[in-house]
Amino acid sequence: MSGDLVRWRSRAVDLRLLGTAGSLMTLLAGCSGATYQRNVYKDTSGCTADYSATVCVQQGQQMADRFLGPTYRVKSGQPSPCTSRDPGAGSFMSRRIGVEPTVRGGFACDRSSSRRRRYTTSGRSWSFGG
Amino acid sequence: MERLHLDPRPDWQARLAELGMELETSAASPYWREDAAYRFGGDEVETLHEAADELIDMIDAATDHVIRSDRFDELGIPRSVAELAARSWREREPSLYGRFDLRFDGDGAPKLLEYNADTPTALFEASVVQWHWLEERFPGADQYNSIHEGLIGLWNDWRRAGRFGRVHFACMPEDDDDLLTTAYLQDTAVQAGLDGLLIPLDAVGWNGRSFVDLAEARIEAMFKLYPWDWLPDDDFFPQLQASPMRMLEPPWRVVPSSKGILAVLWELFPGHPNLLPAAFDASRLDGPSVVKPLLGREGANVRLPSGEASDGAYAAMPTVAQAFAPLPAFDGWHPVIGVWTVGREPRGMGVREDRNLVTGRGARFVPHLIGH
Repeated sequence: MSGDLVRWRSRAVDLRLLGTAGSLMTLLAGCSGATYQRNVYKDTSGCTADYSATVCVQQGQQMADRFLGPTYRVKSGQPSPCTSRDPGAGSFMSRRIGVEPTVRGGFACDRSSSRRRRYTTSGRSWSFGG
Repeated sequence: MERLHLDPRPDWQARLAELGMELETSAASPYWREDAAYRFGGDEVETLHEAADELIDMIDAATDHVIRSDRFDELGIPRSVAELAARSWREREPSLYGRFDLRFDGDGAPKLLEYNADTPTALFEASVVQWHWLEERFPGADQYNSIHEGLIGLWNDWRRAGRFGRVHFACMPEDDDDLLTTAYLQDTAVQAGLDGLLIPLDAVGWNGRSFVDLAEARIEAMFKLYPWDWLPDDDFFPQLQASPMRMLEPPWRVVPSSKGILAVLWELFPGHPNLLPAAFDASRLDGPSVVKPLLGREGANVRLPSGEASDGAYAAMPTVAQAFAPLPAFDGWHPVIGVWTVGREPRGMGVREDRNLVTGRGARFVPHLIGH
C-alpha cells in the first residue's frame, strides 16, 4: 500500500445501516440462564390459532413440515403470562405437538464493559434481530 | 508532527449526531474535540505505516512462539482459552481488525506501547468521524485513513472466498461505545454483501444443538466485542468450546492482546527500533519502567516509575514491565497514536490525547490531517 500510494484516505465513507433509523425490536433476552421456548405445530392452522400467520414459521420440506410459533419465556417450568414484550404460550396449546427450548443469557451476564461513557447513541434506534 | 489550534465547525455537535455519535454534553471536555488537530508530514505517516507493517509480522512470530512453546500461563491466558487459541492458530482463522498504540513524536522510530488485538474500540471515530471532519474542514487534504475501504474490502474477500456468508454482531449494547463499534462493523459487512445481524450478547441462545439468534436461526459466525479472557467465566463457555461457530476475533487473538506479548517481542527481537525493552520481571530492565497488568484495559492499574498508578479493577493481576518512554507533550496534552490494522494491513490512525501520561478513560479523540 505504501509505495504506490497517492492518497492515504478512503475515497468515500458511506454508511448504510447507521445512517438510517432502525426499529427497536423488543428483546426477550435476559441473564441468569433464562429459558425460552416456542411451540411446535403439525400444521399452520394450529399455529395461527394460537398466534398469527405473520409469526408462524414453516420448518422442513413437504412431508417433514412443521410450524414453529414465536419464542416466549418460561419461568420455573411454567410459561410467563403474555405481555407486550412476550407473545406468551398461546391459547390453544392442545394443538401443539411439542416445544423447542432455548436457553439465553449464557454470555456476558454479571459483566459490565467498564468503559467510560464517552458518548451516547440514544438518538438512534437499533434493529436487533435475526 | 504538530498540534494545530482550529475553530470547530459551528454545527459540529449536530454533524457528529448525524453520524451516530452524540457526545456527553455534561462532560467538562467532550470526548471528540476539533478545536485542535494533529498535522503530520507525509514522511511521518510513511514511518508509522512501515512500523505497523513490520509489527504485524513480529506479532505473528511472537504469537506463534507463545503457542508452540506453551507460554500461555506467563501471559495470563486461561488454560481453557489457550486450547482454543492454539487450535484457531493452527487452522489460520483470520483476524478482522486491531489497533497498535504507539509512542511517536515525529522524531525517531515509533515505539509499540501495546496491541489491542481482541476488543479495540474508538474505531468509528477514526474511520468515519474524522474522515467527514476532513472532508468538510480541509477538503483538499489527505489523512492516514483508509480503514473503511479496508474493512469493506476484507469482508468482500471473505465473502467471495466463501469464508463468511451470514455474520451475527454481538456486544453488550448498554455500552454505547461497544454498540457503535459493533454496529459500524456490521454496516461494513452489509456493504460488502454479507448478511449481518446485530444481537445483544446476552440474547444469544443455545437450543441444545447450536447457538441461535432471536429468531432461533443458527449462528454460524459471530463477531463479539467481548474479551476472550472473560468467556471462561460464562455459562455458555462449555458449549462454545465444542461449537463449530466461527468467531471474530478468533481465539488466538487473546495471545497478542495480552501485554505479556511485549516481553516476548523483546525476547525475540531485542533492540528492534519499534520496541521498548520489556520483561515479566521489572528487575531485568535497566532504568525506570512502567508496570502494566497483563490483561488490563483502558489504561487501568498502570504504574509509572514515580509510583503513581491509575485506578482500575486489575490491581491483583500479574504484570509486565516496559521501559519508561513518556508520551510527548503538545500544549500539555499527551497524544498516543493508534494505528489500525485491517486483516494484515495497516490502514489508518486515530490520535487520542490525555492530560496524564497514561492514556486512560479521560482521553479525547482529536482528528488529524497530512500536510496542507
